[in-house]
Amino acid sequence: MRMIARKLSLYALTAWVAITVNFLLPRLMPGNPVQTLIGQLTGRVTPQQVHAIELSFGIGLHQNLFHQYTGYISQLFQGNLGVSITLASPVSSILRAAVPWTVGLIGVSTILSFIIGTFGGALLGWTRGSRFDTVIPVATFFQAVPYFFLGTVVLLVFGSTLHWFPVLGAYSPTLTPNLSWTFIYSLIRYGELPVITIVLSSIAGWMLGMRNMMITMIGEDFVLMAVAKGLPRRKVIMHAARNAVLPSVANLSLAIGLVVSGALLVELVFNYPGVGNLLLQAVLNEDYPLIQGIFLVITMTVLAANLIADLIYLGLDPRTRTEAAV
Amino acid sequence: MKTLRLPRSPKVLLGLFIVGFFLILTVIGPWIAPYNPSATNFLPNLTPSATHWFGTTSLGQDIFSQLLVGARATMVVALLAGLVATALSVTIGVAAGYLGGPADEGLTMLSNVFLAIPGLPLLIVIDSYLPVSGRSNEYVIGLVISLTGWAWGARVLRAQTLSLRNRDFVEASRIIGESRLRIMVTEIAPNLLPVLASSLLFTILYAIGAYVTLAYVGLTSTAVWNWGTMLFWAQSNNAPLAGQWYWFVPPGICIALVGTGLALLNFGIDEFINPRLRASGLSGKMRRRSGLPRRPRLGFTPVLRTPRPTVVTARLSTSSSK
Amino acid sequence: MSDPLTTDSLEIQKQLPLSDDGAGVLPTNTTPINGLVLEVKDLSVDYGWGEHAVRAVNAVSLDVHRSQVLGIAGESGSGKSTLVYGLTRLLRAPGVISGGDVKLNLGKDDQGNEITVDLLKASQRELRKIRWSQVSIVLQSALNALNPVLRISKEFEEILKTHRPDMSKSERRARAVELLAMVGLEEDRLARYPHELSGGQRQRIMIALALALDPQLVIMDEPTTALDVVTQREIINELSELRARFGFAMIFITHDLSLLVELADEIAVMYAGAIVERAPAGALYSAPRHPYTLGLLNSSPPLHGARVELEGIPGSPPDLAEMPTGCSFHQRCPYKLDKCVTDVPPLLPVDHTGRLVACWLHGGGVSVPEPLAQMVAFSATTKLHAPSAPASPNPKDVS
Repeated sequence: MRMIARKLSLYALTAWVAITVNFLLPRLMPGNPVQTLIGQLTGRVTPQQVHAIELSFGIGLHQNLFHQYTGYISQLFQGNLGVSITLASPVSSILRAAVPWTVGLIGVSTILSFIIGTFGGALLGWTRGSRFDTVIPVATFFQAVPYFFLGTVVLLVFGSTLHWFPVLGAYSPTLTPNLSWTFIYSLIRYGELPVITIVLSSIAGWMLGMRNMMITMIGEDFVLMAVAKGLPRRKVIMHAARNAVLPSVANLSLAIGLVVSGALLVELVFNYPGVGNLLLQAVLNEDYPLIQGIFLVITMTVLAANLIADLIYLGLDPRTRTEAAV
Repeated sequence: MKTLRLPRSPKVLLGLFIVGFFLILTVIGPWIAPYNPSATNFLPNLTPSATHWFGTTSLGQDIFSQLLVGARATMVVALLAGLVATALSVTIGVAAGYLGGPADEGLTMLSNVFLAIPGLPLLIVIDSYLPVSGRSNEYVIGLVISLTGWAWGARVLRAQTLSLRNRDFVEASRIIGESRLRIMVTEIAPNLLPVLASSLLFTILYAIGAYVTLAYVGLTSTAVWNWGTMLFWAQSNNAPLAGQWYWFVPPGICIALVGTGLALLNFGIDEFINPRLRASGLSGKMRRRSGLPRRPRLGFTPVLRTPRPTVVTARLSTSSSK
Repeated sequence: MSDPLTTDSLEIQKQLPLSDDGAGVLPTNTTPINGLVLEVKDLSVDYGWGEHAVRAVNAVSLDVHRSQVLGIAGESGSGKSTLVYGLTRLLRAPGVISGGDVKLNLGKDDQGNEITVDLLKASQRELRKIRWSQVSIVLQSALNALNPVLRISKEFEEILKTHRPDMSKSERRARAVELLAMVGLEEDRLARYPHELSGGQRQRIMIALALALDPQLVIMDEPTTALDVVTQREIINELSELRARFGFAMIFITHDLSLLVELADEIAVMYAGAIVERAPAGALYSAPRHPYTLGLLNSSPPLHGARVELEGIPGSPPDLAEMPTGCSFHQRCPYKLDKCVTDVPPLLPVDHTGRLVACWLHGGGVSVPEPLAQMVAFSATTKLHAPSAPASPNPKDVS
């Protein structure tokens, strides 16, 4: 189908742009900070790994830019993301340990936020003018609170002070990762606060978007038609909601971007062993290979999520499938 | 010429009040601050008191002064970044929507790319590459923020331009032979204002968040006081765990308040753009008095308990055959 | 003949076997006493309430019988749509029913009792039950009235599932195919989405949907306005045939009088929220009695016959919030009397045939202008051109 092909090519293009940006950035900045840091590495890593860094950052190489670029790309496709200067181990293995945590956190939070937000928004739109409307300014306020701030407050109030939730980390320090129920339970318990923080902070967007769309839909004739047909109330709401949810899905890409940004900070606050923590440490330590690697992985993951969201939208709105009417 | 009416919705008025308040603070903040925010000559870790309304930091600085002075940098950078980003959005979005064809395709692709790449990580990466001199220049930071925040507005404005382009009055201008640039500026731009305003507010919201986050992470200059820097210092000195709520809570609340104010304003604009969102009719009390339900239900038109008599505009009684 | 039993809401519940979701079984294919399906008495509809209320429909009465088509004609803003949405309780906020009575007669149930629903007093549950199964409505724009993300088959499914829970899936499908065939559409249309169909097809589907449950009353709100003339004609013909076949009562709203001449049995002309004339279609067309009707007829060209000069009606309809005193039409009327400015003319019979007019010209004591005193041509299919208004308002004496 042409639509899908178009989407795929767009995403491929974006991925390529991200990679190229990653490649060009260090070369565009005045001075090359990596140069000096390479020295720290000698003796701790293999020469190939050092060469990999050189390729990524264009240091001490006599090939022209294009050759560096092709070398960089082939390196990437081999899964070689360079070596972390501070941790002295391959970036890819560092990331392999951290990425699942971030993906899990963001995934769960986004799905929860979307579901609660859309349902809430649909209800708010339908029962417009009732007491429930007070939720709106409350949710708006939470959305305006910076993620890390909310996380800190939540951590302090519910974790340290009230001891309702465990704090800091992804699972109880006494356990080692395995597939037992105790471990999974611990996972969930430790994940609650971070997830709550992200959900609280992001839910207003979904809710309001859905509410406004519901109100618009309710003004449309086909909803009146549904009522005229004598359908029970929940079916009428479904008629409206089914259409109202479309923009929310279409805007998923924006929302995911925002959630990712927030989640990184939340990880910092809760000491969650994900990519966020890594990135910020890397930035403070000027560990550029690690920064680059993280950026690339984050971007690719977000792109993948957006692609999935776009495909879902194609499935939901039949008007996008056909080009013209009969 | 439409007259400017003061909006009636309480949400919007509240938003105006909040944003107005902080704008004033931006201007007069440093003037009314009781002390120099960087001065470390006070007793450290004081709880709020009459002399120090929000207490002092671990370094002996007055928090209240930091808050007031910090307002300026936070707001100014956010406003600037928001304006620049919106300017970019308008240029790219309107051009794409109006010009169509390959120009549109190219510009849309550009905005899609920027939209898909998550903002904060990109921001962090770019910022980390900046030499220290760049980082301490707030304008550079503002510029970088605007580079990551224009894509959404561009998309919205493009959609709006597309729908406007085919309207009759634009067609008329085209037929008369007005230049494309002139049409864009004089015909299309004024009708984009509500959407533009909404986009601007949203972008400023984003910019505040981005700026504060960068400061919190330590990627901006610590010489310039802003609310994010306050949080940075608070975190580094373990203020949360030490229970020094008066240090890290006020800046966070201020950020949240400004954000909320902007969001409330956005509601107002939404309601203006989409008349269906406006609250209609009388208040609940009045409705109940006339025997009407508080909330109108679709498909269940209310019937007045006491019928309103047939409208009589003359001496004779009117109406139908009996 | 005894009056039909007028039961109040509670009694209806007792009579109708109700399942848990309220999908009771209502009589189908029965004829109410006198064939009188809908009785509207002095219905008034306002927009808003309190001191800012605006009267959009002012004390309108009408009745519709089985197999009868009542056409309602008028300009935009005359209140014709408000009238029908109001009487079916589908009017959106801030619409309010501010007076009157609406009764729907459904025919006999198993025990032979007449069932009447008071639409203004009915509960939501009752309304839901009779909606579509007894009263259906065809909205103006079919594209907007069909859910864009649902296939056409789903629209049929929903109706049948809700009101005929005993039907099996295949039975429902068969019924949908049957209905489509009735309006001349192929079965493959079922799998399509609304945006994939042409305007005419969509409108036909709306009609098929409206007839799905064999209702007593079908209301059509300007169903052909958005269509081209040829399709318009086809649909009108199909409606005539369907009505003859199934015998439902129909209310047809339009601003185009010429459409109604063939289709309608009776026409009610509305102006500024009230009925100004009501007459059998042929009579109205060949011998109008109200100046407004005359003006309307003169505004649309006849398809056949000699070319005539078109005249509109000078001026525009009044602002409902600031109605003129006296007759609402007097400011635009070429035959205005002094009385018209001060006194509102009641809707009264003008002759013994049951025609009603709200005009002081026919009140007696005044000579009726010649264009408004024509003899009625009894052939309803004759497309006569309406008599033209005189050059000067000096009426000749005809009686």
